[in-house]
Amino acid sequence: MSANAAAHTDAAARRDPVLCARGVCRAYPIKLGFARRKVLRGVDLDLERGAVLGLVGPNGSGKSTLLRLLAGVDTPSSGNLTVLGGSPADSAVRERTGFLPEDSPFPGELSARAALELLGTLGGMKRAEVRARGDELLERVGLAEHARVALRRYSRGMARRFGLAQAWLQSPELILLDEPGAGLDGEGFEALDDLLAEAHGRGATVVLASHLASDVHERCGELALLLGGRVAARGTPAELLSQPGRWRLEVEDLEPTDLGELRVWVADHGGRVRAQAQGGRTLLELYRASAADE
Amino acid sequence: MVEAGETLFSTGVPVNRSLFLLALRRGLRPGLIVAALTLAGALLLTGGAGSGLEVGGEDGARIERGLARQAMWTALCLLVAPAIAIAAAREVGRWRAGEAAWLAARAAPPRVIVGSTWLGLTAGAGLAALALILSAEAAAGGAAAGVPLRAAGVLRTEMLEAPVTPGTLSWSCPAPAQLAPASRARLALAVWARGGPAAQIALAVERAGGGGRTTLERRLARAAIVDIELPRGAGDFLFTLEHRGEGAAVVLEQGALTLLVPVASERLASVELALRLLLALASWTAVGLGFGAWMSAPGAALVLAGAQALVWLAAGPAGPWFPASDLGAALAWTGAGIVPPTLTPAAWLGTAGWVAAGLVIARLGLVRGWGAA
Repeated sequence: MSANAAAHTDAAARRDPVLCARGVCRAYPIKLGFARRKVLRGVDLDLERGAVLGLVGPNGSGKSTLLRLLAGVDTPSSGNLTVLGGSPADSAVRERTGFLPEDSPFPGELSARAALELLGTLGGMKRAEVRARGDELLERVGLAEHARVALRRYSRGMARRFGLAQAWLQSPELILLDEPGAGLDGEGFEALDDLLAEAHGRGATVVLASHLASDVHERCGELALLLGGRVAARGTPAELLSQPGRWRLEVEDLEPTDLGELRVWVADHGGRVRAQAQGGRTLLELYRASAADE
Repeated sequence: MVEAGETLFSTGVPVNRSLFLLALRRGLRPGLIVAALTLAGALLLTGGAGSGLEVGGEDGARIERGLARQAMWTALCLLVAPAIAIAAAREVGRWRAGEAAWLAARAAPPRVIVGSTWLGLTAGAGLAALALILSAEAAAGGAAAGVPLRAAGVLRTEMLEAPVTPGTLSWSCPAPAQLAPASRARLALAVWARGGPAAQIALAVERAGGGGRTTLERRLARAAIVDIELPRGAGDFLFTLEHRGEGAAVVLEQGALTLLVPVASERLASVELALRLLLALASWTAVGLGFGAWMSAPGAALVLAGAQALVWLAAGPAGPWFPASDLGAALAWTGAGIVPPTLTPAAWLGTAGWVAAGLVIARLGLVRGWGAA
């Protein structure tokens, strides 16, 4: 293949949507099957290769259900859903998809290393390949020392880190993360950001669901707001979360009296200081400083 | 979608080793087996597994060991077997409760997941059966003197003419093509209190085409089992049962004439029971997985238990095709100090059929949707 043709194919691949949802609905039977609870009510969504999409919405808006459909764990009641050019139920598609489920339901009786071996081989990886990649990922998420510990002994944050490791195991092209920040400590968030940077670097697409703006604001290039089982709004974090005229400022090296002058200046210019709090170190900075002291 | 070379004994049937080992671990239920073995030990220490029977001679010793073996197997079967079958039904419940999120998201197709899980659960059942053999044989103690026997088939099943008060009853039975030395016929006789408390009988058997003749005389006071050595020779067996003098009536019970052949060891009784249990567990785990893919785990376990009860109550001639249909009879033979009959081809074929059906139902359930499973 010529360089031009290769470049053209690559460009075309980048333009092809990684996922395409049209009128996707999902309803579950309730009351002994005499009624149905509609969770998704016609989701329309496209996502291009390499994008990082934040799926936001309140509890019960259908974020987890949509991710399960995208991961091939569940099937839509109606509508069309295409992921990586095929059905999410296709083995070839699932091989290229990584999924971090909401509650870390991994087999608690297995150690992290054994669980990764199970998950990797079920995904079609060679056993030796799983071991090498698994050890590397456990190191990256800070679980190398706990690789032989049974997952049931992990704390919530450690289980979440393990979940991240398994989602990245097959270097997937599409990564689906359901509330990845739940239970993560500072180092866990650092590991998440490191993995997201690696995924972005190789052109992988990420869908990150969260009900916390702080999880998605700086990690996602685009947000989709899910409300009542439908995509109610879509745009960049700035477009969706910013409010004209409202700013957040973090200042250093000022005395409290200087702050008073600043408030006066703001008032003189027609503004109003909505909140003021003592700034400080992040928890991660505190941990590191304490560790250095010891 | 499994690593190359990961097949079942190089048969080409794909199996995921890690999932197999996980299912084995879950199916084995080590805590339950330890509890069962503890109970076995307690029974041994308190003498609960022994019969307390006072029967003289080699047969008496063998029956006593048989009763100990039977008691242990009954207790262990009741404890361990249902737990393993329920573990299978629960496995799909675990998938539904959340594990589908990592199982279904992987590339492995449902047939690999269902097959590997069933194999693991059945292997766990196999290890449990092995533990049961060891504990039951420990309870039975050392082998008894004399020739151990196996129930090798029924010579005659229909009710014979009765009563014999007094008089002689003769009948013939076809002989097996090959008759091992020291083979016996076992007759179940019942004594009716009519004209006296006991009956004096004389039993003789000879070959229609010539050969030896064996006889025995016995005074019977109630229902009794009588063993008589079968003569070697040619042609059918010719039996003569004579009721001598006044006394109670004697009848032959239905299904009363069984062929007993010598075997290497009476411990084969435990092997036969373990094989029956293993085939039943293989079927139950497959069908449990199948039902579990369509209904809740308690519901699946309930349906499974109901179906098994129906098999025991009303299977009739189709019985051999159903799992564990003759477990009760095998336990009864064991209690009598006799090794139960070898499994029939119908039992093996029936198991294969139930396993295949269960796995297909499970696979269909998963294909329908993991979320709905």
